Amino acid sequence: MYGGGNTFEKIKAKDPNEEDPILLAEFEARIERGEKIEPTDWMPDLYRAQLIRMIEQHAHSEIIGALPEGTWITRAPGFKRKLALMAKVQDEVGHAQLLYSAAETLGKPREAMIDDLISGKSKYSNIFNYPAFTWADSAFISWLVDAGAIVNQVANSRGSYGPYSRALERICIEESFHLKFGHHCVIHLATGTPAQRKMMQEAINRWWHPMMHFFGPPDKMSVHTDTLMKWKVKILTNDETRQQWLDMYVPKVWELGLTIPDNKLRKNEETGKWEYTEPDWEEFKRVINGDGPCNKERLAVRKTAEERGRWVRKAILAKDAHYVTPLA
Amino acid sequence: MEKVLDPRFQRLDIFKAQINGPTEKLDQLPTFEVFVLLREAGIYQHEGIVHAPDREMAFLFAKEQFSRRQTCAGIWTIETPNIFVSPYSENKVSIYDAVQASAETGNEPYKIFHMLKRGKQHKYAGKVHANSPEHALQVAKAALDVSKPVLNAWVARESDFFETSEEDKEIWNTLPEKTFREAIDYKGQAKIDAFLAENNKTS
Repeated sequence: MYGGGNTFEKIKAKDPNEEDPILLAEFEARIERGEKIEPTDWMPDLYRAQLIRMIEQHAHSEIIGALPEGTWITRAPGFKRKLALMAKVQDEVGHAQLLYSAAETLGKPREAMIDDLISGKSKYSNIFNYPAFTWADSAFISWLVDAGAIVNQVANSRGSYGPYSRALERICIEESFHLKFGHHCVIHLATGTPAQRKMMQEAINRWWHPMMHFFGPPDKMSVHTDTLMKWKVKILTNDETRQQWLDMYVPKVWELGLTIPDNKLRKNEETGKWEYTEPDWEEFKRVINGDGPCNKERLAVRKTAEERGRWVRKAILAKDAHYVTPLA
Repeated sequence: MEKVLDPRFQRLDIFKAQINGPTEKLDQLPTFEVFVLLREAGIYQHEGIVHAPDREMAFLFAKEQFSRRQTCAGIWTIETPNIFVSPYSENKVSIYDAVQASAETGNEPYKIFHMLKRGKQHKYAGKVHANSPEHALQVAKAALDVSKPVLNAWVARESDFFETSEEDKEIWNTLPEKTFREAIDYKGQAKIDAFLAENNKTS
């Protein structure tokens, strides 16, 4: 699971123009040739800083994203749904570990990343600041939020950083079950009793706007965006991922006789693009900066888990163990 | 909307807990590199890392992390600093070009891993007996298949690995039964078709 990695803070890194021009040219030539960058290769400061930020946010999104669904495990309808949801939530936490490891190869220890999550310094996908009231909300997350994540992840797995690409390839394989499981749950509700259909429709109405936020605001092309695209850190723009998702999933929602709470939503057959009402980007900013329905709750759960697990970590920590940056 | 929905909250009274965030220095566990054998006929390849206090626990975490979803026939774990890493070479240039082959072996068994393409995992290349990691590369050049350019090599003493044994393998016996983890287990099209047919009838 993954949200677009949006923050509004400027990234603190050396300007690429101040880098050694020879090393920079070799680095860019390598990417141009379609080769991956490995941890011990020389890389520009901006490349390293942006990747750490992206991968770290991605990892936090997996951890926090497991919370709204995690609470539904005990209440999932039926034994098989419980098993599947438990397996899915375990996958999400596993994905976080894969991603923390990929970010660690760039020089930031996992512990430092977890500290930054808990202190609120680093962000996670905004969509998880909204509540999952009903089983249908959980089904929406499993199907459509994961679908959005897969669009992002498939694109990013074509990126230039070796460890991140490898982690994403594994994640994408695992996510395919999440998507099918989520769709299965939604089909069940949508083709079920009037009460089940109503529950599903209400979930779609609640989640539509956060889902449109999920891919991030329309891209303002900055100097950095160009550079990061050239370096294959950013692969698709926010609008491109949103369009892909709309194209793949809106017809599937409509197929089930469900509606989407946007009467402007339609595919323009001439341009091939989806037209929609812009979601409220002010709300998006407000929620990212802490003022959403569940921000406090999500971080409180994380903090409590950290506090309560501390004695275990202390007990198992070998005194003479020393930490080094992992290899790949 | 401040109403807490998480059922754990009512039980734990979470907001009353004293939470000040981390105050002590990093309790970072060391990392272990994990190599996985997907099926009996395959070769071990690097899958990633886990954080653990020792290599036995590293194995437990690795089992959860890397053999939960795919078949598995064996896992090796080793603490990161115990791996000697060769320099990376450019494409088509083998790191062995700069190594003097040696027919003279040593006493200590070493495992050698090769990376043949950037972006791909390191794969197990074989075992040699040598006196040091550098010597192991010299022996490897003479003893192993190095016909394709090797872009990077990892060398580590066999005694530093934690390896699963034959008996351990039964922990993976039930993997194929866990079909609820497979996408193919969730077929919905028949239900959609029936639903659409019903709707067409009524409308």
